Amino acid sequence: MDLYKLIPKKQRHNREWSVGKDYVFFKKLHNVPLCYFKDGIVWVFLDLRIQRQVVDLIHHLENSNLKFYFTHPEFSNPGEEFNINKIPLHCFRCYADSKFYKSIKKIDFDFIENLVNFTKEFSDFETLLLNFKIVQKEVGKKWYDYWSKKDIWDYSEEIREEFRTLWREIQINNIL
Amino acid sequence: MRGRAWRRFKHEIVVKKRLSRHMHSNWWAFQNINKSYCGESTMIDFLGTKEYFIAKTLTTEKHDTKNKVKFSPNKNYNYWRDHTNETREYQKKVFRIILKENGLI
Repeated sequence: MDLYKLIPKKQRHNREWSVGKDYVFFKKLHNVPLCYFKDGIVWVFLDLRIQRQVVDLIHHLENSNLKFYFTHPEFSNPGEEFNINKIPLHCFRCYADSKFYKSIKKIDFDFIENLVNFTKEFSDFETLLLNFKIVQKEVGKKWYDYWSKKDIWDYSEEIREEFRTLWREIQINNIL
Repeated sequence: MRGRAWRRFKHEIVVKKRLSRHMHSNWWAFQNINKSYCGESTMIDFLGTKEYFIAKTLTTEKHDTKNKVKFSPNKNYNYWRDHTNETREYQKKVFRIILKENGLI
């Protein structure tokens, strides 16, 4: 497959987007890998360091009807062992990031549906549930501020409410 | 005055120089924005973190560099500003006057 087709049409003239041997790169201080193509599937590195470019790429891949899944950016390093159980945890953590969450809602991309399809093909729902519980605990964590006498959360209210009903959404997507 | 591309190029060099101070200087494993631990942090690991945004700012909180504009003829004049045609500050003022005359502000 021609990897130049993976670059969004708006960015094809942009010199910061480039294609290497197997990867598509974006230059921000150095060349940061964005995605690669293997066995008919485009694997996108869900990297929060270059959020805007990742969202652009997702939007482009969705419109071009290509099959794509997300991976952990650590696996772009050839020295790192590919562990498929790491991916759902990273996906949930990215989904909890407020900027990433808003930008995904803006382009109307169903992130959960993609994650469920990935688990059907490559992993189990038991590992997905385990990872979900870890992130749900992180999101719901609060501490008491004695100066203002209020409870304070690290994550915004929008995301906390999203994570309350997220497992139900995953189950519905699994049935459909 | 130099163009935008030149300023961006110069700015990137400055950011790299500032970030290089943080590299390999951690006693503990550095946590990325992706929440993955890196033993020896490289320059890319700082992207999106507090260190990167501090390195990216052109001004500081100190009194003597508060009004400093880095890529401009005014960069060394903190109090007595140079208002010639070449400077961006003067051009902005003229542009605002033109907008007011045409009723766009």
